[in-house]
Amino acid sequence: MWSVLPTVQTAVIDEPHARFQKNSPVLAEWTFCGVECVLTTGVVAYDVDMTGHDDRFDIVTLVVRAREGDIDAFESLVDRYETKLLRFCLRTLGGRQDAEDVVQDTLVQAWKSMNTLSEPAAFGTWIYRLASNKCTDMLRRRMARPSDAQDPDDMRIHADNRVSVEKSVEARTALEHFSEVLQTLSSQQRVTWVLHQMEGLSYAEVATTLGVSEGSVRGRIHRARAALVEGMEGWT
Amino acid sequence: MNEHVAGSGAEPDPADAHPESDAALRGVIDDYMSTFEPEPEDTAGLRERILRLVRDDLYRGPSTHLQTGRGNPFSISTASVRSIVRIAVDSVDGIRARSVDVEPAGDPEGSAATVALTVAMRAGIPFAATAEVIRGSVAAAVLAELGIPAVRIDINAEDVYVD
Amino acid sequence: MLRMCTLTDQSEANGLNPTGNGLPRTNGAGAEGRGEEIAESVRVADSVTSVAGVRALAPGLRDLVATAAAKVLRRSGDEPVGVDVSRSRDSVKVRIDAHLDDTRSVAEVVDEIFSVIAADLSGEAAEADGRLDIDLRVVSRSR
Repeated sequence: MWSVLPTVQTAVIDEPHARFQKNSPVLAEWTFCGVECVLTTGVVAYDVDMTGHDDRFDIVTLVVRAREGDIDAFESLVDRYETKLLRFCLRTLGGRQDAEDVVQDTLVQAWKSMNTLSEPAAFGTWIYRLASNKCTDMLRRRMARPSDAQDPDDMRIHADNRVSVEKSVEARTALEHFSEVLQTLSSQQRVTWVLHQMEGLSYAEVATTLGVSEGSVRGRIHRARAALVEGMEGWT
Repeated sequence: MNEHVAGSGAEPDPADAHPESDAALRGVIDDYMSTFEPEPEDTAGLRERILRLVRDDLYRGPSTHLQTGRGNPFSISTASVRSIVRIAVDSVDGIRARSVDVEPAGDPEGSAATVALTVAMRAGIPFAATAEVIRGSVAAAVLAELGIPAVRIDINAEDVYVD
Repeated sequence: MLRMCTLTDQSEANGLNPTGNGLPRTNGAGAEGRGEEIAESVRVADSVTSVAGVRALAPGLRDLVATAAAKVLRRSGDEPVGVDVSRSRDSVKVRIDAHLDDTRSVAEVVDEIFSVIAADLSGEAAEADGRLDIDLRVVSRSR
């Protein structure tokens, strides 16, 4: 025989995180076990991602579950972030093999160290920070061993396959030259510049992702931009 | 910031704009970005490698020590036990399981289990009534799937969502 | 003095014996004894995998050590069987790591596994003063 004993029911609405946007229109107000609740249009802004993956669960739910060994939840996180991370790493490192290695290391490390993530809603920032750090390390190692720099063949394979066949030889050459100039940036400048210029993060978001001040981000991007303009002089 | 946005290149910050240099580089930056745009087939093998490594790691994860009604002791991966509870919670309309903790209980230890879980609820769901539905679902699932009675089920609603 | 050295050598050899999976042996029966244990392990593995609800067996820690040792020593053999039977003077110990499916309750499958092992090893357990210790870990449970 078994029984389910009555227990104290607690209804705790967490501190409404960043996802309850300030000054958002109020959809509903109600009292929930003595707690006054306000529902605004901002409440759903945090986890909507129409990329075709399993959208039943919000990011907090997926992270909490994955942290407790739910492989399906982790698989959903991989689905949401793998392509974004691969794109970021490809653009930062310029080589497929290195980019795939970094994405694999990043996501496996995320699985193993998810307990260290205190705020599940910050998973996106956290995972990009892990990837950024690994990209920085990879670029530093390359600079220490110049022969390990990006294989130009990597670039040509993508260019041949993905860029329109009508693209001129000059344009392809400019692309390859740009890639070479990009490699002259310091590892930190390159990661910072790609996050801002190519991944579309604001200065503040890049600063949060990398764990540095917004001033540092501005400085790195300014120097990166100047170096790129100088390096591309006569090509654009 | 909770989600990184797929960028097609950032707009220059007005406070730090370099319109001429940005415009000059725009074309080659766009070419570079489109060159390094992964296709879905690019990630298939990578995804499988990652999940294989994660599964191997999961098999070495923590265990929960229980025993059958006949007194035969066994341990079961804690992730498997949590999964049984999660499925039961998710089956309740408007409820999503988040954290699940299952601890051995009873006399002898492990002949029963206690369950503590947190959930997210759809806005408008009456908590008290739904909590009883969740309890019934979890108790039935633990007994049917594990073969062990759940003698206590604590539920904490920690978030509200809207569809 | 010479005898003491000989005894010490034997004891160390048991602990280092490659066929002992790198773990100390308890019955001191040497390679022949380990061969019997492996045969028992294979037999019990067959019985356990015939239980409805058992999807597969997983290599246990001892198997993983054996496989790693075999690779280091560049030799074949000691393939993981997912069941590890070891005998000592006063008990027979069985370690199992199993993947289950969800066609039956875990407790039902566990009880049946205990039954088939007891039936399989009742003779050996009787020789070892009747104690049969079964250490069963359900590694996963899936559809």
